[in-house]
Amino acid sequence: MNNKLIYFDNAATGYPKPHSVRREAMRAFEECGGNPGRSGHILSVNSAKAVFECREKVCSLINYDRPERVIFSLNATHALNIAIKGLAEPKSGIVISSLEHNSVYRPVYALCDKNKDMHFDIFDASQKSDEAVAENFRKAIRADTKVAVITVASNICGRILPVKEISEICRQNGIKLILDASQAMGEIPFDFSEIKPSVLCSAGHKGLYGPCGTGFAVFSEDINPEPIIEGGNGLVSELPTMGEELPEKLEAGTVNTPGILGLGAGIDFVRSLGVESIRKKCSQICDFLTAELKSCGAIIYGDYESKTPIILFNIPGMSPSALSSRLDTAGICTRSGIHCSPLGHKALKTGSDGAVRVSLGYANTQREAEIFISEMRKIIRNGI
Amino acid sequence: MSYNIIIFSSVTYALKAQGIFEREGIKSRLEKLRKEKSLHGCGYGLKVKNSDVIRAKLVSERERIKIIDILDYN
Repeated sequence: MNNKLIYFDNAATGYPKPHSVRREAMRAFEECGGNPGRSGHILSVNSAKAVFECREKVCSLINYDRPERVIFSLNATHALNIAIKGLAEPKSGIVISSLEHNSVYRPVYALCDKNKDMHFDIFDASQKSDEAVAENFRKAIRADTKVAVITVASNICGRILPVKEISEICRQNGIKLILDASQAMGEIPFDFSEIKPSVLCSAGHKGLYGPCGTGFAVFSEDINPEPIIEGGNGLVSELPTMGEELPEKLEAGTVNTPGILGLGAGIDFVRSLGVESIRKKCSQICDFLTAELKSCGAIIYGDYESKTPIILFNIPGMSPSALSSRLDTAGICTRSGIHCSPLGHKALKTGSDGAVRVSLGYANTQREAEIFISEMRKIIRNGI
Repeated sequence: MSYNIIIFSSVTYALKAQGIFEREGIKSRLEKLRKEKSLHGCGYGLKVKNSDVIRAKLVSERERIKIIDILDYN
């Protein structure tokens, strides 16, 4: 871990990865060196058991008792593509929110661009009121809407959407709900059995502090999507198809065993600290930063009451990319630009250059926040 | 002592069953099936004592884990 850096880019990937994550990933190389679900020797069996245990850990995190419905993926984008393209139907509509990441927007756009009998609608999720957002979603539904893809928390401003209410509306209208929980896992409690989405997708490497190159999708019992990638999966090898059983049906090729074991350790780590405890600490730092930035004259975008610890801001007259570069020279890691969410930036009206994003994690401290503010005041006083 | 091998549709289901069997006091061992026995499913099964097979079947039914076949181990 680099002790000199202040890392405020946890929405991109969580850092530092806990020691246990690194240790478990290494254990995969040493003790689980076989290919899970392929061979009968001890290394393959060990790998298969370790991967299964990680499916169980995902279930424990989200209160769901079907580990066989947990699919591991390369990242959230991969998981979302599996879900969206596996569930989309011809001659139908898809609804997404105005705060979606390109990992939702682009596959939906591509599907509808290639299939002219499909369409998608975007509803405004930028309002402060949850009731207004839920109502906007309801109004966006058409008679042929079959799938909705919604982020649980925005990657640019942290706004937590009313997904429980939206899920209820989906069930009333026979719509399959795919949730992108990449910014929510490890940041806020999530109860799969209470919210009842059709699919929950997430990155493994952000709030769960797993290695980059990990993600997952969790499917409810009544959902049986078609695979979007075919290949070897250790299942009924004599057949030309992927078989019918999850998870193997949707996991073509060798899974990332070191990554998955690291992810499992990340889940254990987050649960040992307590999601609520992480949230409380990060919220306090976030509130301090927001107040101080406002007093510096910063424009804060999407300052919602219910949010994860993300702040999106601009300093009038300063280019966000120049500001982020200047902060980097001071050892402070942020991200500037559109953050893979052109829809979100348009909804929040940040402008064509986007904004600077600060996103907190378990390791951030009040002292780091004070150093950041001190540096910001210097920059505002002296220029970039 | 005689054993049976319970064949499941995938290694994931075999592992799920193994965990549940363990909680029920049924010992089992995950094994890759030999080719001549691997006509169905994933080619993995759980080796259990013959005396535990009926209980294993009932537990699997209760937990909605599909058993593809049950064969003599040898």
